[in-house]
Amino acid sequence: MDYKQILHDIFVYRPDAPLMFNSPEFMFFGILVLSIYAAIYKNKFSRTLFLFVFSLFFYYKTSGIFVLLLLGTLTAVYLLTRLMSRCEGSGRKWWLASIVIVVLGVLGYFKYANFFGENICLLLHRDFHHLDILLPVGISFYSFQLLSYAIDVYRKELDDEKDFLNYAFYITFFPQLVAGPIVRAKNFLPQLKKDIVIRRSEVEIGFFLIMIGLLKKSIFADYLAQYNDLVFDNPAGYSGIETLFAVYGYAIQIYCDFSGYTDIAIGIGKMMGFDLGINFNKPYQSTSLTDFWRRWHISLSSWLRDYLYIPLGGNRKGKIRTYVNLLITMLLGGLWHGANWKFIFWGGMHGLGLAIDKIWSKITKNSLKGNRIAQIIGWFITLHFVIALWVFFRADSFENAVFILKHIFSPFSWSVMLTFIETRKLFVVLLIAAILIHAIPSSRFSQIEKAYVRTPFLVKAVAFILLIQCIIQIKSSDVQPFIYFQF
Amino acid sequence: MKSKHKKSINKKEATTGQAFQEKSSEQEPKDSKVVEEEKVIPAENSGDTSVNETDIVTKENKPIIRHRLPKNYWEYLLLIFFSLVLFIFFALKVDDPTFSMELKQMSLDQYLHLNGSTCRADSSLNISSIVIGDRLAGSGGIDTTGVSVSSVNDTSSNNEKPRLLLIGDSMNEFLRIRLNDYCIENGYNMDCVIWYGATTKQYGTCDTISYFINKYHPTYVLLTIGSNELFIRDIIKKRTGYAKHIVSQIGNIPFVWIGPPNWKEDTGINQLILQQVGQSHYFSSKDLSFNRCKDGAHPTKSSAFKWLDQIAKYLETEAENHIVMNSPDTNYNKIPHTTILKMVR
Repeated sequence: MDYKQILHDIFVYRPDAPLMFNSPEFMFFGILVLSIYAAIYKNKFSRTLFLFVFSLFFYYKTSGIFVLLLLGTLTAVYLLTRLMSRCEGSGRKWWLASIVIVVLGVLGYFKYANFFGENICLLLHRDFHHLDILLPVGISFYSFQLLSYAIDVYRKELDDEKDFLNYAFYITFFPQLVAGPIVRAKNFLPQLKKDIVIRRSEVEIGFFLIMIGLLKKSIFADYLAQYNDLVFDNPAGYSGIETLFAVYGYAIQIYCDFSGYTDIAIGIGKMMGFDLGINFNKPYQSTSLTDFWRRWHISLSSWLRDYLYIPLGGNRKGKIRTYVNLLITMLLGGLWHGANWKFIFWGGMHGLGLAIDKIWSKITKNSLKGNRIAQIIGWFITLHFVIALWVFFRADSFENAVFILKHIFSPFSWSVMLTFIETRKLFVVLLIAAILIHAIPSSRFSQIEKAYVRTPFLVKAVAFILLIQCIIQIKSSDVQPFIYFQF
Repeated sequence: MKSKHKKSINKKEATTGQAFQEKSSEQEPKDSKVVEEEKVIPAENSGDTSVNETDIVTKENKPIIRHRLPKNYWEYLLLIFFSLVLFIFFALKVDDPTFSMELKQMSLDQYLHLNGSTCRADSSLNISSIVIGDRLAGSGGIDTTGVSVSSVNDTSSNNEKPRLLLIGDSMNEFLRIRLNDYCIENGYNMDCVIWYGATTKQYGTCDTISYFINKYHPTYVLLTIGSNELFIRDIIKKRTGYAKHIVSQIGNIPFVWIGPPNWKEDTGINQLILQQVGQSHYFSSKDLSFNRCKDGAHPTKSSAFKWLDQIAKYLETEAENHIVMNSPDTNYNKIPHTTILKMVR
């Protein structure tokens, strides 16, 4: 056994194997970090310094040299915010503008330079040579976090953090660094100043969330992804019903993938005594699109609401402006997800859907609220609207997404349904299981949580080992990256 | 140190006038430096009113929180450690295709096509089960009209003539028919092995190739593996070992690895094959244009025939081990002796 190679693989950045929560390397680091943390967490400075250093290492293991970009950007924002906090009036505004330019400039270069360059050249009928730019992992997440911090300080909703270490730790805290949740400084920074008390119940709930997250990501999302990838890579090769299953499969996959990551992140935070908030709340149970955006990626939707929709005027400037504001917010929300027209279309359609939802609520004057049948119809329409738009999220291109949606209906034949179930048993079982688990009401879910806490440790240990065993069984030839890493 | 500490009552208890001090002095642990967390959490931190809340106050009247980590923290750490060991131990086994439940590229039509097959377990092969017998050409709804089915004959006894073994994935469905035309024309024998959905990982982790080489004693081997792994991330790193094992099973027998007929840019399978076998053993199909079956992946029968014509030219002129491949004037449309393997989960 080549120990040097093993050590190299563990500690040096490998572009082909970024450090992820569902990898054995992360389990190794998890044990190491939690053990050291246990010894030092009572000392504020030590724990903050230790976790900050580990967070930088974690980011290095996922993005390599881009850790310097992260450090540079957060330092620039720290200094500019400090300067901003000393000014009033227009000076304050200018400092904020400079922060926005720095953050969006970095984000824009790494994420959108090729996209805008290509489209501008297309308009000007000129050739465009793609720039060789790699996208740093999680740049969209930490950029939004930096912006929210600066804007909160600008609005005087938050005092600027004088302690650089605390501030840098808030931005880089590893569980939420690369794929959220987008934690707000006003919720997180106060936690750093308090003595941390790690309680038995928090450890239990934290571990429970980690287990749920692993189950969602490594079993449901990763297995479903294998079939979904086949269909999305070559939709013409599959019948309508097969494509339909892949489309439903992807809806479950993206939810399990992203919420699984979030669950693990929140769980790790809880085990360390930090509260990262919530990011998902049974989104596919939504009975309207507005409801959906209150349940899906809550930290992003509330960010867009607080820092984009409301500053644009929100619903305070008349009906038409409200709808326009919704559309702009969601278009930019779509663009945040990726530099591609398909994401912009995805966001735009959600904006349009939200506007229609608002109009509908006005027409019905909420008279249908509480009506069971209306709720079921609303749920069905919302779910299928969301699922159809996920196709644009996943497909290689806009054209391919349209093709897939059309393809569901063209050679559609129910007769192959039974054969499909027969040949893709595990896929169908996991799909149904995921739907059933998702259908569990939140109240019942908290009962399950409580029941888990009461369960003897031995039973939990067996459950966890069985879970690991299932992950090994189902895992494909490589650990699948989290979908939201690319954003 | 112990005597330097005294307990104070929290605000709520002070206002309600509870005689907390007496009670708390009774409850004071033997070592006041370390107290179980539930007994000393200040109200503002705990947020949980169900616990007995109290502070420890120093002479300077500054509260010091002393608590131990709950026991379950360490229990869970131990559990993660145990799981990691388990993970490492069992993860090594995942490379075994019978162990892994990794989903393979096998379209529904291919499954349907295979449904009528008879299966039998064959312990000599490291795969779940195999289907042996001649099969009608065509998958994915391909028109098979006019294609005759040859009888199930093991022709391995005829060792006089050169013998070709065409072994690989479902791409052999049509290739074998055209290759058989060439064999008839040139007086060769041939055998074909089709393992649906197989990749380098399957062929590279079992003795299937050497099994069939020992069975048929071919003088030339044609490999068609790779179509099911066009889009595997980081394939060169992950599958080089499998490719090496595949090549090593062939030994000194002349061979050519026929690259997959790409319908999209691959992530490195062609490069991997080229690296392992070299230009003179590799026929690149990726730049050829094909008419595809409705699955979008497999070339149509006529397209596959043209594909094999190109391969034949390569075998005759460019391959390291030349072989005469006079073009047949007619399409015999005969299915050569074929073994079909099916992996059952």
